[in-house]
Amino acid sequence: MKTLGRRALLAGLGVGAAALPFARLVKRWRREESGLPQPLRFIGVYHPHGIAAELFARRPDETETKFDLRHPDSPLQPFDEPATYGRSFKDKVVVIEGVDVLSDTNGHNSAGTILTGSRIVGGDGGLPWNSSLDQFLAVEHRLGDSTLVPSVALAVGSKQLSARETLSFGTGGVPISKIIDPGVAFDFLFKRAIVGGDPAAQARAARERRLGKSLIDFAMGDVQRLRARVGPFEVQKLDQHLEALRAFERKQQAMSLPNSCALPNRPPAFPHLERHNGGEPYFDAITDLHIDLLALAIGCDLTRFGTLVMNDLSYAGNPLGLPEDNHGAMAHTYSASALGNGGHPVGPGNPATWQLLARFNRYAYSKVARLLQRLGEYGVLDSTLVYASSDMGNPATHSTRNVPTVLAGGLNGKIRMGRRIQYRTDCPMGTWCDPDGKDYQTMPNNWLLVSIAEAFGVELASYGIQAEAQYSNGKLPGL
Amino acid sequence: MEALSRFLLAAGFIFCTQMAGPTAGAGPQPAVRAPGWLLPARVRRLANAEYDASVQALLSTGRSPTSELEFPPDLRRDGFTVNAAQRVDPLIVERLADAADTLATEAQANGTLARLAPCATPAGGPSCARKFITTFGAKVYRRPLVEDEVRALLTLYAAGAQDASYADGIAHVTRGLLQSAGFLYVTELGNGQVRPNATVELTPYEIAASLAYLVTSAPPDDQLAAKAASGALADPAEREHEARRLYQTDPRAKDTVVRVVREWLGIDRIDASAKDSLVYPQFQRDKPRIVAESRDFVRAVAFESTGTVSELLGARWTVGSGPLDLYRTAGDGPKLPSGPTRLTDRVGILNQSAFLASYALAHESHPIFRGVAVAQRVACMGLDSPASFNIQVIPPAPDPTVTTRKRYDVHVKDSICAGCHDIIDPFGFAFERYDGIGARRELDHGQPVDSVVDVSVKRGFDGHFADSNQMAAALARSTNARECFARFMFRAAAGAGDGAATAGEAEFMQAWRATPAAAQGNIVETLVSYAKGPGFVLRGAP
Repeated sequence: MKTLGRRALLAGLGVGAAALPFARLVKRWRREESGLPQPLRFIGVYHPHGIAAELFARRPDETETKFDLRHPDSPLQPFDEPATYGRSFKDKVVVIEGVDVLSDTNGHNSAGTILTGSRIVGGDGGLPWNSSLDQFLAVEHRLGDSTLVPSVALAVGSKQLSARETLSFGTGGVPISKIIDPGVAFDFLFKRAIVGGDPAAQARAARERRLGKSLIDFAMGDVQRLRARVGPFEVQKLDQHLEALRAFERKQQAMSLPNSCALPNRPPAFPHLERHNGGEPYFDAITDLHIDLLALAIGCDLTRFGTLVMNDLSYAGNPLGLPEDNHGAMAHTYSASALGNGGHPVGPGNPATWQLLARFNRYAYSKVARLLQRLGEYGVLDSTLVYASSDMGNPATHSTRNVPTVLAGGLNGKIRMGRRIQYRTDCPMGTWCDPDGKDYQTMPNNWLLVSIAEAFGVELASYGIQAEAQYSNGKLPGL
Repeated sequence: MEALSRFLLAAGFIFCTQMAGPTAGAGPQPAVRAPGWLLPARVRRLANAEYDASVQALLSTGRSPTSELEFPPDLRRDGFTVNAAQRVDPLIVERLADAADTLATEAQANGTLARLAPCATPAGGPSCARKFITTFGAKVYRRPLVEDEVRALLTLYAAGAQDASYADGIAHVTRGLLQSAGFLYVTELGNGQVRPNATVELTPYEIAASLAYLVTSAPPDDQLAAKAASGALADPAEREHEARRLYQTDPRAKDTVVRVVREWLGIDRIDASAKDSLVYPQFQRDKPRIVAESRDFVRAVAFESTGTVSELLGARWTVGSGPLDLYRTAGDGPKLPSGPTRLTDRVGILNQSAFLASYALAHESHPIFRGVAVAQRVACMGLDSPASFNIQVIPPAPDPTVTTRKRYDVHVKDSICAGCHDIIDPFGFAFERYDGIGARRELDHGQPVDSVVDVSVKRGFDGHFADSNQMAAALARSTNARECFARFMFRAAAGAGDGAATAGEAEFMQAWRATPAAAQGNIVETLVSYAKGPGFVLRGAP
């Protein structure tokens, strides 16, 4: 039997190893040996601060399939850096320009639209109105049922449940709790599946499994008793609770599966985790650990759906050499040309500010490239779709137009990779156009969500609640 | 979210991607609709503070599991952590399981469970377990258990005691109880009997639980539980009596008022605020005192002084634990049981550092954040998001040669922006005498600070003010601010913010206006008036 590269696995986590049995991996390799297609996986990634559109954009002499990601100014360099990531991912990405996140709110409150396609109503405290695509597929369409963990939501630096820093939302647009501690992520993904190999550990596990099941049975019964007394609006609330208990039960039961896999140690504890509370200097390491754990969980088929909310590196002496106040001194000072302003003619912009922002963009994409590298090492890159985006295009104007959109992986060939798709800016380049006029073009990311759902076998006419049906109805052309 | 769902249905939205929610258990819809101002029959999950206070009360533990075990934060509605939108998702389920295990193991080890589940037979047995389940279970569920529940818990006991001891079985029951829906959800459902007007009345135990969590964030104490058992709490006077008793005697009631007031103004955000250390090198040193003031001042006003929102907004003193280095002080303030106070040049809570630093950027003041906070949460002025006008927000570019006010002045020169910024900006500019951590300044970027404003929003507090202290004094005298405060107290108490209960709020305000003038601005009296009202005990039928 083929075995997972232990060295690669442990190197990825960057921590010491402890050989512990791990059950689910067996199933994956059997699937591979049997010639069955790999199941489809989805990972959503949020990165802050929008994009330096001028340097992100396809250059005039490039085409959909002939392009260079390695030119010196490109924020997309990490996708074509074999020396760093072991291979180029140029043929594993689709870079899309011109997609809009129709949150109907300030760019800072728009992350919640990326996977929901929903307007965000209510300003700072606002939330989307419907579930995110990962939850829709994993939970509502039950595509996550065949793994121990239906889905996982990771984040760096903030576990607050606001639309501005959350990707995953359950039914009705209720935020899904995020994990910001890699140790907790490890526990959530792996701990319940670990069983020691000696007879005493097996006996302990059997007792714990029996007791755990009795607790979950009781808890589910109690929720059911309450559910029978409530009205339809409360049923949804209790159904989510039941769903969470079922997911927990699956993990408990997994302890009885045969085991034959190695796992790394639990990641080390960080002195601080939260933004504005001393966590910033650890964000880079936390991001890497999250990525490695997520890729490992996907690779071992522990889960097929995950999201990761990245953070910025606003602290003195950050490794990118960016200003301590990234937000004010990098994002807000970005001075766009017409390209970064939806096509509107606004002057040439300031290229120095593009370079500064591109440096951060390059950092964000280096993390996506790391994720692709790990997925590749675990043999699941071609069956996974990574959807990376931001809540803004032009960060100085907090614009939700022309947000950076990168699809990566393969999804078993359902999306043709190795391309750059360029949709037009809102207005024909260099012209003013009225949002109500015929020249104005919207390319809502709702259409991308419909396309992705279709690739997962869920045929939809629309995705996400918008003020006008035309924004949510349809698929992204040319994908 | 419930109200939102209704809106979507009423508006005829068809959302293809959402599976219709199951309706099993809903029962037939009543032909008669309940009065629109009543909250719907509902369940709400305990907020983190309530969960901690509950397990502390039940098991006499000093633990705060939600922080020790990294529970996810509360989902907020209208800024308040107690609300009916809280859910239980996969991560929370696991945190609850870990917490239950930690607490039960501790209670077994330190003898708490042995005390709660005594048994004459040394080996224990189902009859002793049943006694524990019916007595301790009733405390956990905040009502007597029904036989189905008792049986389910006895099954749990049997599983825990199998190949183990009576004590292990009791600990296992405890783990189950702490993860049960009966514990985690405060119910407002009634006993299933729907009145002819399509309303239901909360059961006496539900009334007691709601009252206890409203006042103390914790489950009913023995006296309140006894009142529930006697059915006395249907009487508004009894609810008032119990609420007052708890406010006077239970320290958790004081903590709860502090939490609610901090959430009202959003100054609890100071706990997770940081500043640019190059611009404000002293902030980390001062932050503990800023946080302390944001709690101690509220507690002192509410329980050791007049107890009024007027004093919260208009006091000319602060507590000794505050960041006095940042303030100009002028002698001792009122003598309070909790300790010394100091007279300062700051008027009220809005001019204290917690508010000023919470509504600021890491490196500078932010008059718009401050102005919006005052307009929305102190003056209850409706402001639309810029997005509703399709306005792209473009923060003014940094300019070290002009004042912050000058940079933000651009709003009122734009006719579209001016509609709201004519309201927001005077509120915010008045605070410009204070920097991003709330320290006084005379110069901003080398230019003289201008904090003079004319507030003209057709409210009783309109006027020409030299700075935010004068403005705060006017707000403190204003009936509008008192009324606005009462509205937010309703949202906090009802767990129904973000427009989820506008009719209920209007009904509450009508009753509130009928209360004696002296009581209207009183923090505790406002909450008591909610507990006394019919909206506290009646719900629209499911």
